[in-house]
Amino acid sequence: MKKSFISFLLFVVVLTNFGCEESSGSLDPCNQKVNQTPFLTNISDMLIIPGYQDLSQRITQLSEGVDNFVASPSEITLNACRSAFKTTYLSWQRAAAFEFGPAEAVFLKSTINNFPLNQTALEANLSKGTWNLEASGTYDKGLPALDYFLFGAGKTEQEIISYFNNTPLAKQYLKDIVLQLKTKVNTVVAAWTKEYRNQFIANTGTAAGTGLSLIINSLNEEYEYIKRDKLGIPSGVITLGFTNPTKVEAYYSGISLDLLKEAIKAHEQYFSGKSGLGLDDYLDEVNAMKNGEKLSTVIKAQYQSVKTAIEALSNPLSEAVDKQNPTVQTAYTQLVKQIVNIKTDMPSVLCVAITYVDNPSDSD
Amino acid sequence: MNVLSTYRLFFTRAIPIEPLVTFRILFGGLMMLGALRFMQKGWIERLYVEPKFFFKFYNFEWIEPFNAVGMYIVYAIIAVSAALVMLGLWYRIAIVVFFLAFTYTELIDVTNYLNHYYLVCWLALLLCFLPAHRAFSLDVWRNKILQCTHVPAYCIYLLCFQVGLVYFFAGWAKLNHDWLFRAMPLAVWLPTKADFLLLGWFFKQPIIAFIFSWFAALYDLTIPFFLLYAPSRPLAYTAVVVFHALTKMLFNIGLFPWIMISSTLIFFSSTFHQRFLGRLGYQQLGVPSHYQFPKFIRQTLLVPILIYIIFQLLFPLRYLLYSGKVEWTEQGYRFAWRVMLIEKNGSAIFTVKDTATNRVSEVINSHYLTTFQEKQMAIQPDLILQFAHHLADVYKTKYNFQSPIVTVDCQVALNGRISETLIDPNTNLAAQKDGWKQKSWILIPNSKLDKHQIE
Repeated sequence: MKKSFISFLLFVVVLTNFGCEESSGSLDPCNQKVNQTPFLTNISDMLIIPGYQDLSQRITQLSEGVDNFVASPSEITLNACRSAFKTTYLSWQRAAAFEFGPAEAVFLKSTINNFPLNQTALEANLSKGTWNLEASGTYDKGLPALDYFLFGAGKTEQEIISYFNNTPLAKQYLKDIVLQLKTKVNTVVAAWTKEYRNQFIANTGTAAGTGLSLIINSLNEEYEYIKRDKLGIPSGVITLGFTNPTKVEAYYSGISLDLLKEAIKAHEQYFSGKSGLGLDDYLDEVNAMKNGEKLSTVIKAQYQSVKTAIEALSNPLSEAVDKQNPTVQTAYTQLVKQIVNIKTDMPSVLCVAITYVDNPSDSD
Repeated sequence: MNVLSTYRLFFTRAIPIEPLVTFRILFGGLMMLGALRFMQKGWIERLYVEPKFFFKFYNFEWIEPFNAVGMYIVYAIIAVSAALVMLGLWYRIAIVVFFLAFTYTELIDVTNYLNHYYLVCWLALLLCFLPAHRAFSLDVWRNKILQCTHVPAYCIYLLCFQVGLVYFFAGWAKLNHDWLFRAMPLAVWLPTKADFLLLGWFFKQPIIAFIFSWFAALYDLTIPFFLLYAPSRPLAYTAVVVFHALTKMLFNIGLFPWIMISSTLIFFSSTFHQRFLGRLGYQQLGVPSHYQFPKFIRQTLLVPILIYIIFQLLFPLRYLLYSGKVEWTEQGYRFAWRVMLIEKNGSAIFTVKDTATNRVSEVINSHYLTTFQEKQMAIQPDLILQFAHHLADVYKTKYNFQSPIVTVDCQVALNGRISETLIDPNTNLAAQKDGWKQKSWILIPNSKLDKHQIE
């Protein structure tokens, strides 16, 4: 009686809870055998540290350019300034994704590149004669403000020069912005080249706060930002199709598209670890497959589709969003397609939690 | 007939009240601390004040939160009434107030659902009817006539049933492919504890996840029976303490271990409880005095108790009526003691379209939801539906859409797998209704889940 009851129970369990499930094949999620140290070392030494060092050099050049321009505004000094600005902005795209640890501590991203610029706030600062560049959530500083000063303060180069001649406070504003960027970037470089690098490399595992988790989370945050701010908002996909041409990155200089391309390229390199060990190799280690292909291959192919779609756009982006709206939308769609690969699939098969915030409550 | 009356006698015979008294004291004390902890952690702001939108429980859509001050008052009421329950002062009123206030807070937002709070609601409801204050309470101290030495056995057995049931169903739910044969999700969670004192290295070993999984399933399924059986009880209770202490150290599960460690004491004999309470200063009454429900209640009691038991046994099994794995569809997942079974992450991108103008907009979820809500919503179909309805309302009122079409691109990865589409991307969610029926717009990957991995 008892025995038959138990076997009946077992039968019911098998029937109700299992269903037909095939063996889990070769996927090996949460593989703990992968040696993370070479991977973290490569990301740190080939991408993050060189990225910040390059940014630091560009900002030093920019700072010299700004000093010269402020001392004697002329077409020559302005153009030197402008070209240093562009190389700095491009360099920033290659460092923007590493927003954790030292960079997060000084709010690097929101200091350098809060866009679109709030021109009203900037002008209000100038008329008040004071500004607080350290305030959070403000859009009157960083590279977007330089973009305005160097390209948008007047229609022609001559107008910009006379703008600065007539607005001595603007000279100070310009210098303050560059000084702030320089200070913060140098702080970050110092932290990475001293103690943080070793700390980062030694921080192995899959828990929140480990190197792998920081990389995956920062990679995703940057991607969301590229998708939403650089292309989504200007193209009108989140505003019922009403475009917002003035909300592009670097509206005044019109280099938005170059910046976008650089950001995608940098993002892909962050994923693939340039020529060294990257997340692509890690995914291959755990045999992550999607639709019959390696997940790493799927992701790389999608980066390619994104790049191709963006190549079809013409400068400047602020005009393309209206003139070529369907093409812009296509590029956006391609950008969106990558999200599931890197935000849902990758953390799942690598067993890393997406932890933009901590759980505010208990679990059970 | 003879058998039936034997059973009747077994369940209605008078047994000592002490296990019930310990239960009341520990339950009240824990709930008081829980409410204070909740306030102290700032969770009132994070869970009830910060969100602009709340996910409602089906049929409880009318429940609304108060403002911050109001919610603090509610939690203060919970803490005070729990303290009164513990002390046994104005017990009957206190426990009813506690039950109502606690259940109210749990019904505010689905994203906060936790099985152990669901258990608390049921235990509190049972306590509303049980004479737990009839000994070692301030009510008795104030009015000696109330004191009893014995209660009908079912008063205590009902609590044993409720607590044992949680374990059994939690074990039942673990008997699935992922838990037993892929050690999921423990294989995801344990290695994250690699920095754990001394045992860290141990948790990284894949075999450990399997051992833990099998042990936990076996433990959950059998522990109520080992607790019922007197000779195995001390060992079983040791297992309870060790098991919950371990889960407490490993996972962020708040009060759950304490609730289980204290409520499983209900299985112990009255002599055990007499000794335990004796240390706290409890003195037994010299003359036996048996508590009896009033006659008219006694005569009608059987039906509600049977309904309660049948409901408790069947409701957690309702998932069997739906097609698709319950871990994937989450149809019948809640209120079924499915504890720590899934590691899921998803992305849900909503699109709203106006049929009149053909204007389309993608939605930025974070404009409407907290990050925690967004994370929870993206993996639970009924929450996705609610959010879609909310979006439809917003676009109607704010952007004058006539009849908005809301669709979602929802990709979810379960237990270390590659993602699959959870929701039919072509379904206009604004036109779908929530309900008990199978949700046809939930896509079921079937064996496809694994086909992708075999290559």
